[in-house]
Amino acid sequence: MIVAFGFLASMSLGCALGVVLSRNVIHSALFMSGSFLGIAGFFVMLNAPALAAFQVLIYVGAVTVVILFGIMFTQRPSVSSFRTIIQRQHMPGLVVAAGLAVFLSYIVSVQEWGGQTEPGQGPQETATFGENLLGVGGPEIFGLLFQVSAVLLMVSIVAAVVISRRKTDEGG
Amino acid sequence: MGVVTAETFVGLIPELVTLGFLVLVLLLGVFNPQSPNQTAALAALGTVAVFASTVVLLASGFSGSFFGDGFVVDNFALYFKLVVSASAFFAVLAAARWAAGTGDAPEYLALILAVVLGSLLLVSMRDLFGIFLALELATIPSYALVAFDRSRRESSEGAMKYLVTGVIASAILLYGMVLIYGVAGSAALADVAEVFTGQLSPVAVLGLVLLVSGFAFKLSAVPFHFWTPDAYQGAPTSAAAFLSVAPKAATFAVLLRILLEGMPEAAATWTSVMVFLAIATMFVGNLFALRQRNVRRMLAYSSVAHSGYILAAFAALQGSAVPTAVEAVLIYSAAYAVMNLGAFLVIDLVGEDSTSYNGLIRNRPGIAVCMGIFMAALVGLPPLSGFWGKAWVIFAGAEAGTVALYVVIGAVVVNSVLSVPYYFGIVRNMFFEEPKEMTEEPKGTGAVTASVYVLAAATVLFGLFVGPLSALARASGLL
Repeated sequence: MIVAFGFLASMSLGCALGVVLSRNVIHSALFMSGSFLGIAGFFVMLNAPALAAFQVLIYVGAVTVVILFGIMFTQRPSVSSFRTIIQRQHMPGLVVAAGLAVFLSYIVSVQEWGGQTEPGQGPQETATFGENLLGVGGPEIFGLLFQVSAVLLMVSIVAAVVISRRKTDEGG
Repeated sequence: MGVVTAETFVGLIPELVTLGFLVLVLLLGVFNPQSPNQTAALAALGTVAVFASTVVLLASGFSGSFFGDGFVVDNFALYFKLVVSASAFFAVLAAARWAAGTGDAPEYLALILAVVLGSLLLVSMRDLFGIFLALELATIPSYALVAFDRSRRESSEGAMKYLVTGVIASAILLYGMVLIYGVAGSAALADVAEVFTGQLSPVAVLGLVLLVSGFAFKLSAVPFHFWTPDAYQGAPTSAAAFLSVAPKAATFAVLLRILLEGMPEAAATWTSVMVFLAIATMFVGNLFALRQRNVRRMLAYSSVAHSGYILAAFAALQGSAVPTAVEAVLIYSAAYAVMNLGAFLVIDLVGEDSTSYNGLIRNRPGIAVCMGIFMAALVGLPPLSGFWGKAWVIFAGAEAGTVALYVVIGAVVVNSVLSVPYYFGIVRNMFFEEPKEMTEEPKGTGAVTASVYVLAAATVLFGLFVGPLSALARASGLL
């Protein structure tokens, strides 16, 4: 169990680092699907196979493909111009991040979580999961939030198109 | 088992109207791309419809909570919906002329309406996840609004900084919410309130601090304000005007709801955080504004300072002072919306370099007088709108009566004096400097000019509305 956890955690974190550090946007997108895959593994470990299936289908599959398409349609795959905004403060950043990680882990580990819910006791069947998302069985507000998410996705696409679209006379 | 009834749809009318017009504006852009003015008229009509439907809900005394108490329609929410839709109306008017020139008017207007929709949902949410989703719906389109002006480098730079800091802020906010959810076992504010009593557990305190930090980012409170000047300077003027008013008012509203409904027993903890945030925000905002030559950048720092004044009212949310402090937040939000929108619209007409205001009184006396009124209101001179906001903040602080609150009141007064030089620098340029050259009145600015006059009148006459506004605030259901 611990070995599996370590493998998945290092896979997720390593790929996440790859997303940020890679100079090539396509590589970043591929690294991201690896990171998503690690998260899907966590869901399997937590006894939530339905979520894992969603994760693989939607994130590893669909989202990555959409992002790759977006990159290919809009720009040449290079991010050299973004390099300038990342200042060269690696060591202070590392120290702050590590300190924050230790602090947060400490606070979270000393908490008495009550233990009323064991991992994996959530909805396991896709049908229950879907009903909860629609506000039946789970918190009723999910029914509204499900719709709001749809609007959010639509608006995000409009926003993404607006930012990435180049005019014909701008030589894109 | 939840039932969605006809009443649910009545409660959601402002949101549904917004969504309907958002889709219509996009479709009109597809099927009739040659008529940006029609699109703008449709969007303006949409904001009027939202405003009108909210007024009807308010006048008919409609209230209720839906989706298992996750979405609430009360006077408090309706009040902020009025502020949001009214500022959206003026922003759309200002946006029309500029957006028509870009050729992407439908997208620009649809993004503004999306921010409106997010803000409307935000003030009604009573569930942490709902609050997060609505906040993102108000924020994500605003990144694109800031980046919209592709003819200027500052636009992409400002948007990039806004995006990076905004996403980090969202992550921090979500982490805080998840910790609170973990402690409470539920994301509903009523359930959260049961856990935030007595001695708080370390995770609860951490969740609260991260939550407040995330909101401080969104409200551009110090020390999380770095994105504000760049984003407002880069954004098209109408977008900067709108983003500094409507989503901000809604964010203040929802923070008020979380603190008062979700963690009233922990007031001692969060008011002390607010005291620090308020004082730091006021001083940093005003001191940096003093050094600006660019009027838009100056107004960005001024908006940081005004966030500080509103946070001062949050610091007074304790004991018997709670009703006055809530009133202060409501009145200040409306007062700030009126004067700040006006000032940004004048920038849209005149320009953002402070020397372009030289001798404005001779070229365009009407606009110059209006700008003078907005600047005086932002300082807080009576009887203009800003004065009433600050007066209520000071009342609330005095009513709370603790030493910390007296320090905060002192900081409010000192900062009002500190802010005089930079606001009146503009007034001096307008009235006493020689005009650079005779500038022609730009064409097609009728709607914006009219808006400036209306907003100036509202700023002057704000005192007349304070009575009804405070009555509305008293009945807001949060007290």
